[in-house]
Amino acid sequence: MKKLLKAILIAVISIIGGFLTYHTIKGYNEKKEAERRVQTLPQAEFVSLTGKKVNLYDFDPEKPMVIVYFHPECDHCHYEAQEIGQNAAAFSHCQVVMVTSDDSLKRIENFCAEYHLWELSNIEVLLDHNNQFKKVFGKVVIPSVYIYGFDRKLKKHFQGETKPEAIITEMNS
Amino acid sequence: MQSIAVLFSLVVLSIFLLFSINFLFIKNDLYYQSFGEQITISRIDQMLDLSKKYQWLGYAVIPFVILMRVFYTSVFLYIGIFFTELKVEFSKLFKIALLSDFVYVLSAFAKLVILIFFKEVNTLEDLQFQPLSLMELLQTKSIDPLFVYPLSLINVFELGYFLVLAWLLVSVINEASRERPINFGKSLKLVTASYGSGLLLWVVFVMFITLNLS
Repeated sequence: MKKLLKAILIAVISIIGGFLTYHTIKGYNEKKEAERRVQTLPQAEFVSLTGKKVNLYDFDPEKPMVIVYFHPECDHCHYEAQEIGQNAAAFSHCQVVMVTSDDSLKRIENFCAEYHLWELSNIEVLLDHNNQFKKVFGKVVIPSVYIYGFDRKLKKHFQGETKPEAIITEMNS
Repeated sequence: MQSIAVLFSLVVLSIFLLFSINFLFIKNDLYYQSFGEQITISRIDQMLDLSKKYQWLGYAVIPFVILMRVFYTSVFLYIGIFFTELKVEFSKLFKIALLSDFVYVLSAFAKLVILIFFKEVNTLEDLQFQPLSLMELLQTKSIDPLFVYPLSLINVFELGYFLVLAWLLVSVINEASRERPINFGKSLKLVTASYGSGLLLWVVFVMFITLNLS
């Protein structure tokens, strides 16, 4: 009986330890692979609010690109959108791509209307169906900001809300 | 009753040390310098208000953290002893784990001394270090966040915790099974195998959580 209990104890600890170790190593490798992949603007396809497929490489290659991953229900994202909307002039020389995994079109439209994102020609809001963003960019906090230069190389990745001055400074660096 | 007095002392000392660090080093400027490059002043002010509002939570969780840590250590010691065929009551293991926890208080005290006399604190990151650890010998910025906790855990105080635990365990085991006395070396081996396994499991768990939450 005692032997059985010992065997069960060893098995339980080994299974828990094995599970955690396996998923930690797997997650770490995936994270490193995503970090390597996003150093150059990755090929990723999203859907526009009108239902059209849009690839990140479809945008003007002459302009640097700012990608904002957001969710309309996140407080920090509201702040981010408000700041971008209010400082639209500062972003006029770049392409802003805002990607969300939210599945409520109504909520996204309200979000864009609230911060006047519709009125800005250089801002494109895209829908991320099937978690394409996470598959390509890896696990990211919401909001996340990626800044790509003219050469499509990653200049900076900000995690969490970021003030426009910080984005502009990195873009012009 | 004695265990409650030990727990009370641990809690009071830990709260006092945390309060000292907060009182001496957590200033508004530290937040502005830590987050100013990325976040606007008004948002940092909101963050400051929130952190002040919930600062009491940091003190309130201390007794639970200590109890959970002591319980976790006791469980793995108990499992280790179960495998050796020795017989020791769980309450006695809980008591020695509680006493050994003073090593962590000493670690917090060392941190306070280092902060006061030897370290310049400019950002919140400067406060997040484990004194006399392997992490301190390496360049923090070049280390992946995933490895910060395990490298911080390799420190003089953790080694001290193992030694104190083994030292206290000798008397507890010898008192419980007089016919099979053990020496410090054997006790240290037992602590390394039992508590060491538990610690390893905990480290992997923290790494797993870090990876999935970051």
